[in-house]
Amino acid sequence: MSREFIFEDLLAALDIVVMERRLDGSFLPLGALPPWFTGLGRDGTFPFLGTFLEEAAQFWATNVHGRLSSGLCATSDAEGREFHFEAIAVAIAGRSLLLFELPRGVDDLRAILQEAREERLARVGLDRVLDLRTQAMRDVRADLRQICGSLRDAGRQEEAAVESPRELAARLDRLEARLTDALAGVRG
Amino acid sequence: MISKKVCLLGGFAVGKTSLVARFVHGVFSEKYLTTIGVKIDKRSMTVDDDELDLVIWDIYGEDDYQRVRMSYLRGASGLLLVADGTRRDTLEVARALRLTARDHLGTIPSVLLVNKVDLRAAWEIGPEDLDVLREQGWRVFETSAKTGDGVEGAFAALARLLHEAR
Repeated sequence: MSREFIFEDLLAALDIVVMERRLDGSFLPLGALPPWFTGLGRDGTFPFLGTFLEEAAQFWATNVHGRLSSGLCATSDAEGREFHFEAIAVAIAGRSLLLFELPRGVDDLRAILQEAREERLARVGLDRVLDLRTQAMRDVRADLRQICGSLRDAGRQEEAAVESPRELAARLDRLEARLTDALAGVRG
Repeated sequence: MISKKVCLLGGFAVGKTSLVARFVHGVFSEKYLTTIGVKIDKRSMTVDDDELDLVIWDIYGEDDYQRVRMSYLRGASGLLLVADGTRRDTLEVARALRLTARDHLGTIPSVLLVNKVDLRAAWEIGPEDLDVLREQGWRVFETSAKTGDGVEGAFAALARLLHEAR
């Protein structure tokens, strides 16, 4: 098995397309082009490649070694299934190579980001509910304080007949204390 | 036919992809699916009898996990900044992205879409906030990708700005 054959086979197995940029600016594929690559541009991906090639041309002009990544681009296959690819400009000993690959782990990355962001959105929602409840409890507490104050005043004015209002005031005091504790619990 | 690259920028889950889906395909999905990388769509508009091809780059949302890669903006003629009316912090993200984009591209036409106007009762961004932005020169549109309210107008406004800036 020749080295070239292994190289081409390996690239195909890794879903990597390699092209070499020639002096006239055209690109020579090094190996066969897979179906996913030949379909690129069908759904408007060409602007993405055009923008990156401008960047890549500058990169090759100023670098003998190194790499420049395009970042991920979403596109669709002939059946409308979405997939992501990435273009990479590579300079090796003055040779200008352009790679296209289907990065592994995009689905995992999306799943992780999706979960993290959904959790963040859920937390925003919970914070809002908590704020509303805290405010509601504050309002209740203020109302109860006012009622208790009124009852105490009434009790002072009608001492002989105040046993019942006093008991009521005491109960409300206990209720206020419980609410205060509950409020502290919500805050904590 | 004039072709112009426009980029959507904003925080995560503000509705960028939904706005594009509404504007280009006339559809909406309740399901939130985070965008990875960039997705490109196109739609033609007519401005003063001229055909304008909007090449729309829907770029992933910015948050603590991912910063927007500014190389995606290269060659952009206009920006659609998007905030979520129900989350005040997304307005700050849009503001910061506008500044960052200006550092890379200079001043280019832009509009701000404050999205999710269908959830008006839950908005944290008030009319006074938007008035302040308008006084600062922002072109602000209240939109709903869900109902379509304001979406066409916002894109049309940017198209007109691009047409005038030719």
